[in-house]
This record gives sequence, C-alpha cells and structure tokens, in this order.
Amino acid sequence: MLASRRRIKMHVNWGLLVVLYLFIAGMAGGIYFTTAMYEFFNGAINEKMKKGYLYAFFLLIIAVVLLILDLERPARFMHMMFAYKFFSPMSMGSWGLFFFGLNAFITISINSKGALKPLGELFLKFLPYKAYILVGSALAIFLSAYTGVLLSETTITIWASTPFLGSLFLISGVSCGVCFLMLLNKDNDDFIKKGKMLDNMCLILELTIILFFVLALTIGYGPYPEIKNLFSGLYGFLFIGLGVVVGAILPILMNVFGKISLASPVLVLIGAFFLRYAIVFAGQIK
Amino acid sequence: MRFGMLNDVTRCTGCRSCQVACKQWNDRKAEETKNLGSYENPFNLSGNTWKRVKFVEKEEGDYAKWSFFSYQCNHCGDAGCMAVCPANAIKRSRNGAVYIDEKICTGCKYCLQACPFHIPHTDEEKKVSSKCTFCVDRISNGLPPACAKACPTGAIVFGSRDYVLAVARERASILAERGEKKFTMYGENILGGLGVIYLLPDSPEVYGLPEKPKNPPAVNFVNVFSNSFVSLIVALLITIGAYASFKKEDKDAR
Repeated sequence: MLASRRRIKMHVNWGLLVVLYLFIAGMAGGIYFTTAMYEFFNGAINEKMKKGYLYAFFLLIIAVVLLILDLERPARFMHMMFAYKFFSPMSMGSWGLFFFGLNAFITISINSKGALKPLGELFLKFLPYKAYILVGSALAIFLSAYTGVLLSETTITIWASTPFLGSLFLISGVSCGVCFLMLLNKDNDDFIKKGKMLDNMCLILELTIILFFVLALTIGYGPYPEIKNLFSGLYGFLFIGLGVVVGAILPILMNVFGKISLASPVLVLIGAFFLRYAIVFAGQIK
Repeated sequence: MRFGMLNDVTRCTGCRSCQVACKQWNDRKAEETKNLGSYENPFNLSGNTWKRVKFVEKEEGDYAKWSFFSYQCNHCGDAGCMAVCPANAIKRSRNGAVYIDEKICTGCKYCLQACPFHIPHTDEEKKVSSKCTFCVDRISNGLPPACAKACPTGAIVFGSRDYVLAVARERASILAERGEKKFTMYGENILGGLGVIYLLPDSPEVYGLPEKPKNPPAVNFVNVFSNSFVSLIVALLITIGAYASFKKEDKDAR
C-alpha cells in the first residue's frame, strides 16, 4: 500500500464534556420553556412545578461549568464575553447563556418567598411577571436550538450539510425538559397527563426532523462517505438504536398504548443523550 | 498590500528545509514521531508543526509517481476560522496574514472544526490553537516568510499576491507548452482567494486538497439563516403544541 494512502486517525476535538454540555444546556432550555408554558397557558401552578425555573438555572450552571472545563484555557472563558459576533454561534451562544441565566435568576427571585423576594419585587417594577417568563421562553428556545446550530457552523459534513441540526436539538431539548419535569412531578396528575401529550407531539416532530435530516444527508446532499459513520457500527447503534428507537419510537408507543409510566421519560432522556453523543462523535471521525 | 505565496509542487524536491526553517524561526519544538513506512515525517500538522512537506505517491501503471507537496495555512480571503472564533483571537494583518493571538485564544477548538483544510491544531503546551502565522513578524518588516527564504529550488515564491499569481500563470504556461495536461493552479478564486497558491501537477484531490472547499456556512450566512428559520418554525409548532396541551380545560375553569 502506498504510504500516502495510510489513514491517519482523526483527533476528536470535541468529546464527552461537549456532548454533556449540549445535552444539559438543551434540557435546561426545555425545562424553562415547559414550566413557563405550563404556567402561562394553564394559569396558576403549584410551588413544586415552579421549581422548574430553579432546575433550569442549576442545570445551566452545570452546563456552563462543563463548557468552561472543556476549554483548553478555562481561566480565559471571559474572553468570549469581550467579543460579540453575530455570525459566530459560539459567540452568540455565550451571550445567550448569559441572558438566559440572568432571566432564569429573575424568574426565580420573583417566585422566591425567602431572601430573594425583595429583589424579585424590584424586578417587577420594570416589567410584569408574564413578560419575564415569555422573554425567558424565547431565550430557552434560543439556548436549545443554538446547541445544534453551533455544530452546524463547521466544516464537519454530518453537522454542517443540513439545516436541521438546530431544530433537532431544539425539539429534543424541549422533549427532555418535559420528561425531566414529569419525573420530578410524578404526583401531579394534571401535569403528567398534559406533559405526556406535549411529549408525544415533540417526539413525533423529532422523528420527522430526524427523517428529514437523514434524507438530506443521504439523498439531498450527495453521497458523503463520512455519513456512513452515523448509520453503521457503534455510532449507528447509538444513533438509530438508542437515539431513535429507544429515545423516540418506544416512548411514543408506551405513551399511546401503555398506561402512564415513568419509564417512558427515562428512555427519552437516555435517547436524547445518545443522539447527541452519536452525532458529535460520528461527525469527527474520518 | 495583500501578500501571497506560491507553492509550486512541480519544483519541490522534498528537502524539507521549509519545514526546518519554520520550526527554527517560530521556535517550535521538535516532536517525537514514528516511522510509518515512508520518508514523510511528521505525518500531520500539529501545534508544533505549522509547515509540512507531504510525500504524495500515485500509482500510474507499473510505476509509482512521487511528488512533494509543501503546505501550511492558506490564509484564506474568507477565513472560516476567523469568522467563527468567539473571542476574536484570530486576526488578519493588513498584509493578509491570518494569525492567532495566543494571549486571547481560549482553546475552544471552534477554529479546528471550522477550517476546511484542517489546518489549526492545539498547542499542547500552551493549550491554545496554533497554526502558521505567515511569519507575520517577518513580512511586516519587509522579510519573506522563513520557509520561502529557505527554499533552495524556487518552489516557494513570496511576494505581493498579484506578483505570485503572475509567476504561477507563467509557470503554468510553461507546463502547458511542455504538453502537461493534468496540472492545476489552485487557490486563485476559492474562499475569497487563498493567500497561498498551489501549482499542482495533478488534480487537487491527489494532494488531499478539496476541489471545492467550503467554509463553515457561517461565513456565507446561509446555514445560520436556514438553521434558524427551521428552528423558528419548530419553535412555533412547539408553542402551539404547548398551548394545545397545557391550556386550561373548561372544567378546571368552573
């Protein structure tokens, strides 16, 4: 074999920490959005449901810590806050994380009955509460979608060849948010019933986007040899087996044909993690 | 004035003096490498190797054709790495050199994912992204890059980009007169015009160069908009879904 044809193993630049970040940040956005929508459309919600804002905030902190740890120079993460580049998703994402976190904190302080209550009352002098949760919902949508757009703005074939990664990560993040809240509010029959309905819609939409994503990769954009990494071998199993079958198809069937069970949200969370894992790793293998 | 460099593969003898000169001038450390069955060494660019001579073998009938391809960062006119860098650590000098400011770089590796030529690598010691600077310190002071200065055969030519293009065209016409048919002049118009022009005896793919390299879509704005547009539609659908699922039922109202 000619020496120049020898394959050099591609270094994986974004690894497990990035996958965890994408998963947790997407879920944080989904949790905030679901809590806000439940409060907005359903009227009053109980205190336990309102903790969704708190979970979203803490998950965001965890996500940011993971992101900073993944930097080669973690102490310099503030450099991203000194720049603003509209067409760099990472730059926009840094600001999105900041404003989402700020808004989540405001929402928490408004709902607080403890030490943060005076601060919450101060915030209410500027805008009504519903305005804060609507702005927060928009930022939550941005946060979940940006995790996909971040990947798509590269030269990695699997990530960059379709316009569907942002929407896929968005719908998956919202689905995770619904499932996370279902697991923590299992005694809230109203939310479990309604959450299951929203989760089903999200999962059906997610499957539709996955279909478009796969079709765009395999038909619309020509036969890229790299895409076989996503449909065969370990990553094929993780993407199709865990991400699609276990994480979407099975929960839909369980939601439709089975009685209300908490196994379904667990499967959705597992599937969503491995969906991201497979896409991130398969994309980086040459 | 934008500077340019010609890498003329038809004249390269694979002596690797450019590789050594680059290491010396830029104070890049030598790396321990393994013999993988070729004289080519090292086998890839790295945080410490910014310039490399690739030994390209191509089977032609019973023979293997051997050519030497000296390459480094191409200092693209539309530099994808620069467009996506979230900390503005990648800059362009007035003379066209695209370089990384090590004091600002956070090591997020976005530039590594965005370069269509897979040029930037992580400097494992400094923990920042690292690549050829076009010897910006030299060219800003009227000197050619170290690799161009060291090249003994004229395979690397440095000057204004217009001058380099003129030399490349002249050499291409000589190749055409000799009856060479496969040669390619690479980099004149792609990605906003590369700062490094290649004169290749064969098609770009033979040398591992993409025929139509694409920047990350952010540079062309297309994917940002298309991704955002699809995401907006999905966001709208989810909001409608949330309303349908969460709306207060009549019996609750009563």
